[in-house]
Amino acid sequence: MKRLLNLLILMPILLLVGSAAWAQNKTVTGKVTDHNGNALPGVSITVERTGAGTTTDNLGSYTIQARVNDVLVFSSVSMQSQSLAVTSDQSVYNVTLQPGNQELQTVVVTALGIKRETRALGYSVQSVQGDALQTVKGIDVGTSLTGRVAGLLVKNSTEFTAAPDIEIRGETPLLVIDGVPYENMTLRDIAPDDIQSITVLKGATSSALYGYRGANGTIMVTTKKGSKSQGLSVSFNTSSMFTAGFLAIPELQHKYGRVVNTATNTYARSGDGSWGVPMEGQPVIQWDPISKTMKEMPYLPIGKDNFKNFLNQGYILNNNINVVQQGELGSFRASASWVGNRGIYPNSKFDKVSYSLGGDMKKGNFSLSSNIMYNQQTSPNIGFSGYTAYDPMYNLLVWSAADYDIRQYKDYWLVKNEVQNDSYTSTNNNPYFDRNERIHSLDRDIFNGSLEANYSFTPWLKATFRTGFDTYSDKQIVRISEGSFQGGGATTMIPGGTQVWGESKKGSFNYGLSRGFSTNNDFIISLNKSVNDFNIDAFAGGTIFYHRDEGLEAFTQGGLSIPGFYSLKASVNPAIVDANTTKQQVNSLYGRLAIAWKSLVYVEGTLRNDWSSTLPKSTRSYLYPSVSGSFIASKLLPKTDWLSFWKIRGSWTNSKTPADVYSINSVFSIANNSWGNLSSATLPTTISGTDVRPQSASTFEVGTAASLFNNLVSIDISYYDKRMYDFLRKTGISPSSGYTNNFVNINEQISRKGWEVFMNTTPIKTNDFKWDVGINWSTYARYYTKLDSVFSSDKPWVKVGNRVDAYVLRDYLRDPQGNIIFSNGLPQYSKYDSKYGYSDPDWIWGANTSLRYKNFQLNLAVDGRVGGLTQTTTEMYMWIAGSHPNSLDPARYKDATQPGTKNYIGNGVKVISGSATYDTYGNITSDDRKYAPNDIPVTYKSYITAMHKGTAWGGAASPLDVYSTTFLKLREVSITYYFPQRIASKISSKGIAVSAVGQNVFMWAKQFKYSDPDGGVENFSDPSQRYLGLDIKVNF
Amino acid sequence: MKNKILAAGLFITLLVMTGCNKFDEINTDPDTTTQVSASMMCTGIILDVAKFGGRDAKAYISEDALSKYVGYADEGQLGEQYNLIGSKDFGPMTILPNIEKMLEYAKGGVMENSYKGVAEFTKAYTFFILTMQMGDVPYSQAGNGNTGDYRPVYDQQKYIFKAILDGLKAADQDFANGVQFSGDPTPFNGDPVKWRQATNAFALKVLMTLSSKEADADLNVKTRFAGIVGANNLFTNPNSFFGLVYSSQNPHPLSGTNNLFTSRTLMSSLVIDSLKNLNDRRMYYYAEPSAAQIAGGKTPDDPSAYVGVDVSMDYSAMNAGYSANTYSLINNRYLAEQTSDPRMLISYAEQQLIIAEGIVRGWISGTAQDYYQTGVSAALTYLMNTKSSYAHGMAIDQNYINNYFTGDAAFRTSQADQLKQIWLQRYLLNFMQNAESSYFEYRRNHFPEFPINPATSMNANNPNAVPMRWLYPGSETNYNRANLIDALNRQYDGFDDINKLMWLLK
Repeated sequence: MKRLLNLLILMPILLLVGSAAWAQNKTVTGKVTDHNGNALPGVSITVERTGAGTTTDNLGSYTIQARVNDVLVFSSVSMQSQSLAVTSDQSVYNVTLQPGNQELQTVVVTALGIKRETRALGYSVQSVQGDALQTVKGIDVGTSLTGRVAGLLVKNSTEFTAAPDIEIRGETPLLVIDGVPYENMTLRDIAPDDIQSITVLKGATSSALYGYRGANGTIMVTTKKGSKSQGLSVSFNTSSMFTAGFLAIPELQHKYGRVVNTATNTYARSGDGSWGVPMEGQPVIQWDPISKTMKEMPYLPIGKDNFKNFLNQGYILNNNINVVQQGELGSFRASASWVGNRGIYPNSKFDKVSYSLGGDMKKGNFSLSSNIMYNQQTSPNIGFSGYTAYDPMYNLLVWSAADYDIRQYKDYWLVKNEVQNDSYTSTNNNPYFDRNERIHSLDRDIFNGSLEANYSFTPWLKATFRTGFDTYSDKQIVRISEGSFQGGGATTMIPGGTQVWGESKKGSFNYGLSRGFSTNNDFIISLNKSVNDFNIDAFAGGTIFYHRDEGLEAFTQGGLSIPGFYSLKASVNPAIVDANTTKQQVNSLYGRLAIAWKSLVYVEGTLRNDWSSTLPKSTRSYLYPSVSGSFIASKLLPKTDWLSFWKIRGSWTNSKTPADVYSINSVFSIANNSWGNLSSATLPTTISGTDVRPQSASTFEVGTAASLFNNLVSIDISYYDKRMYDFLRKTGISPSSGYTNNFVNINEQISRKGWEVFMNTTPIKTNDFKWDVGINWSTYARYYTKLDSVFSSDKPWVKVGNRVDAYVLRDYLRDPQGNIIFSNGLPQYSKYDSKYGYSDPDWIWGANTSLRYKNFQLNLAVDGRVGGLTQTTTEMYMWIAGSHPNSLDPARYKDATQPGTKNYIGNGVKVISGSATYDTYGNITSDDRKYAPNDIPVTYKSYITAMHKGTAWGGAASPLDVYSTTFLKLREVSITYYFPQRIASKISSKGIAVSAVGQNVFMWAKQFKYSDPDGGVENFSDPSQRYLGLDIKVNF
Repeated sequence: MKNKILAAGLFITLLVMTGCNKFDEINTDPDTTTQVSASMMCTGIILDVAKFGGRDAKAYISEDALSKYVGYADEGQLGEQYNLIGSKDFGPMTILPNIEKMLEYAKGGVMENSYKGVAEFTKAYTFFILTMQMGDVPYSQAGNGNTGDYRPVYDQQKYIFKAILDGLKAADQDFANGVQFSGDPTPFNGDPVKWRQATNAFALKVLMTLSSKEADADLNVKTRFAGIVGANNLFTNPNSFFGLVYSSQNPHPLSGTNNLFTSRTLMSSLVIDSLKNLNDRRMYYYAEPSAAQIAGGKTPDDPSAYVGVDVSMDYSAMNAGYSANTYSLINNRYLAEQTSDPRMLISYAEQQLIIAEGIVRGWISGTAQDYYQTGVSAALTYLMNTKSSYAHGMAIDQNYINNYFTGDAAFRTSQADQLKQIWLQRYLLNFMQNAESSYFEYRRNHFPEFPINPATSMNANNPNAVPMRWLYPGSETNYNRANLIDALNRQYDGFDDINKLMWLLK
């Protein structure tokens, strides 16, 4: 391993040296025009042998260094490419390009790094060029992908340091960087400035060759290698964005304060929300944070802006410098990035440093490229998110009242390291104390590298060897001061680790270390040969994939022996230590055969066999095929003006996914010190170890792509049906069997069906003005297509043909007219689950447009989701705690000012006689109830707390707190000015661009008002920040 | 170069083909094991029945609210306080494969008989609780998931009770033949003699639960009861109990908990008034004086400073009273101390009271008063272990105990009165201890009378009553519906409701 590391580090240096030795060149010049004789700017010219290139200027002219016999390739968006050979007697080559198809002739990188023409593909592929991701730069490049690819759903959480959640066709895709499917890399670990392009292979077909890891689609990232022109080039890109207001931020009612004890006229300090008295200036004994005593003071809403006053100015700084040396035989590139992110809560900072080195070289029949990347991510406090980890909103918005001024609480100690200066004596930490003395720090290093070597035996036979590895080490500490009212909650410190919780008041120190390693090695022999009208493209190869993850975690017990001493040595009782290790190896052999006939018909098939360590011996080896084809229909049609290109494609893929690591093992779980010093052993509650097979899916996909009106419009439509079967599931069984789950291949089948459409158009294109529009739209839903008679859940909504994503909850009991039935003035809930709607969005869409006029360019990206339900934890608890701004009912005033009275009558009915009985599905079997309007008063608090349910600890929400996730967002906006070359060259620059940028600029949501539904789940989501700023790029 | 690449390729192909030999090793988790000992299994099994299984302090308090020991002035109405309960869980039945495994490991060892006793005892205890909660449950076919039986039928409650009693009888013999065993987390520390005592005390408790079926010939309640008392392998030490002792390592579920959950737990007037009537100093150990009374000049050792709440009172009125410091809260020791009380599931005190009832009922002969007095004395004596600083100046001492049995506490003469005295003492004994057991006793005796107010009751289908059972778990409608429907038809007219009566209560 160490050898390999050395080699990888050494390789780029060798490349640099190698590429410096340039051969004698000849200068070739010329002009490129279209078929009407107009100059074509921006045409790229590449020397085929070296890959070096240039582009034509505004007059269509170019200059390039080449050798005699070199082949120059002229290519341009919307024009057919053309090649010519440089001869010894000619230096000027004027070229006329014919109109062609833009993306339909482009080449994309597909599975295993195989470059294919898109026209030959039988499945849907969509690409995003790197420059679309390099102007508006958030923390993660994933955010910039939102809405740019049909079928790609990006859920952008507003939580600090939370990475966006990316799904293709509703499932999590594989990330492949430069041909290597790393196990531990995420899009977060790639600097946007290093990205050449991102290609999304949507179906399983494209990924048939990646095995189970690619069964849900693949995101292929190609990083930048050399540059188009030979020599040294340096570019610098700096971007700064600052919080400029919020798209959604919770508010707190500030009319009512806490419950005031009527005997002592002292307010409650236990932190139970704001169901108390109106704050009208009456004298109440309160905590004075200045004198640090209890004191009678006028009771006023002095904290109505507490939340906003607590927040800091947030920012994202993103700086990148990269250096490229392009030589004749290769190139070398180095790039360094620093992202600095400050969150809006105090003491939240996150820094990300990435460094990458890469290069390639070519000598004769041999070529080699290599890349290494190092990432460091650190944060002194990533904080705690969500209800059960005690998010700052828990203290500030929900369980507190607007009766104290947060700004007076910055001095947060009463007794240093032991007692906080706080308006509360339980539940709510002083928020400043909370951010500085209850912290979760993060230090993460990730290192990865790859090496790819190609050797061409003959022009049509090639061998490729590719190896990649990644390794990470991660340290997380959760430390809680003595005197804190909250512990670490549901936070974990290592993957698969234990939730911290911790004895809050006594303080705790919790330490987690994890590390991991993965390696993926491919060897492929490929063949590409044309015989008459046939082209045969085939390969055979093998892969070994291995990964290992280890974690070690330790927790102090019984508090800290010395306040403020944060170490495992401070543990009062013996510290608890735990460790975990997971390992897996998959070996594979595979092959592909693709045949093309006259550039008209393309057919290919793949076959792959895997051996996975996670399956029992009998089923360990499994084989799965795919076939696909594409037919260029436009070739057979007469040439028309409106239809330039038309293709029909189709594919069928089988994919198989082995069991998870260790899931077939039936082993005891051991608990140390389960009582006193006794260790206990328990059997697993899941039956396993039987002969399970890998789970399977068959995807059938058809599509068509067309280019219309001389390539003014291109459109691509796909329909797919993914039938998933042989599910390997920990299916529920009655615990009366002695077990709660059974790990088996169940007989249930689910089909995921969907449509995807994307369209690109350039309505206006002149020398000075260019307008591009891209639109993406997609939809999918999952349906039961077969049920298992034993293991499928027996529910009315679980039926063949029904959607799988039913949103299930317990509705209020209702009379036949739909009125809520009250009992003793309170709403009644059904004792049976029912379907309330669906959780998946009905469809998702995105649109982006770019307008370029002379040196100005405007880019806009809008996207959204329609449909789908999720609960709002924030508002649910704002209601329950009495802090919701809409909870100022007149009855509340009477309740609060005349204690013991009840003044609210809920809108509904009550039962005056009769009763109902139900069967086990919840259907009414007999009912003789008679109703009258509800007339029983209750307190407004009783009514509200009965109408809403708190679900942080489990259960389904009440219908009132289940919201539609429909929203649209102005995701990104940028206005760029490209400085004229004459100005740029004054500082010897090849180009300067300055952009005003914005991210997360505007949102409209159907139901969400106080929080942003973008993250998919809403559990005390941080305020959604609008980022505005500046981006400057300078190239030398 | 060419050869090197080819060689690399061949090497990889070879690895792919042969590399699978290491797969079993790769798929082995180094932090788990397939070999353990009977002793480690035993620890887990005993903890399954003895340890408080609720999620948090609120769950602990909820049990006490159902039995009307406390009111809960917080967050929202607590369903248990206002007679609304939901479903229970069959999860405890996952103990069965563990028991089987423990016996496998124990087979042939010197401790085999003891582990067999533990197996019978824990199985009986588990199913006693389950059938008491819901009625008919799977028993005879339960625990066979590993042989493919995922949908066990429900056995009739009577059958289950018989099996429980037979199991306890077997356990008695197993422990009689047993030796000291390892892996016992209870204070018995593996002593088979103490386990035998606990087994028999528990058997008496189960039999007393069946008092309404005393004439049932299949169960033979009276004969069994007399046999156990006659054999006299019962608790003899007043401090004996089956349960767990808390420590700083294993603190009491209420200790150090979030104040929000526990600091607003109000004493029920049922408990306070009963203790006052008995001149019972346990009041000072169970409760805090009302802060309003103290502010009004009363001292904490004055019984009139203690004010309980009618737990069926309107929730907002109760909260207003809480805010006016009107009511007594539960004693501070529950929150402040890690080891406030041990967890006592079957105790000497309870055993004596049960035998007293047996005598009063005429199941056996003897002097009921002696058992009544030794039982109550033991309960009082146990509290002497508690730090006297929590007793508000009214600590229990031997002299106090010696003079306890006067006034209302003196054993009455009529059978009806005697039963009520015994039931009330069992109720008071289980405050913050085994509150579910008190709920079961209420169903049997309807004494002490629980406060019920139809205007505040959340039991919409029967606002005038305390619910009689929990619903069957959701796992059954999902995965065992046919057998569930059979059981519902057999017992409850096909409708799973909390007000239906199980066989035992009919």
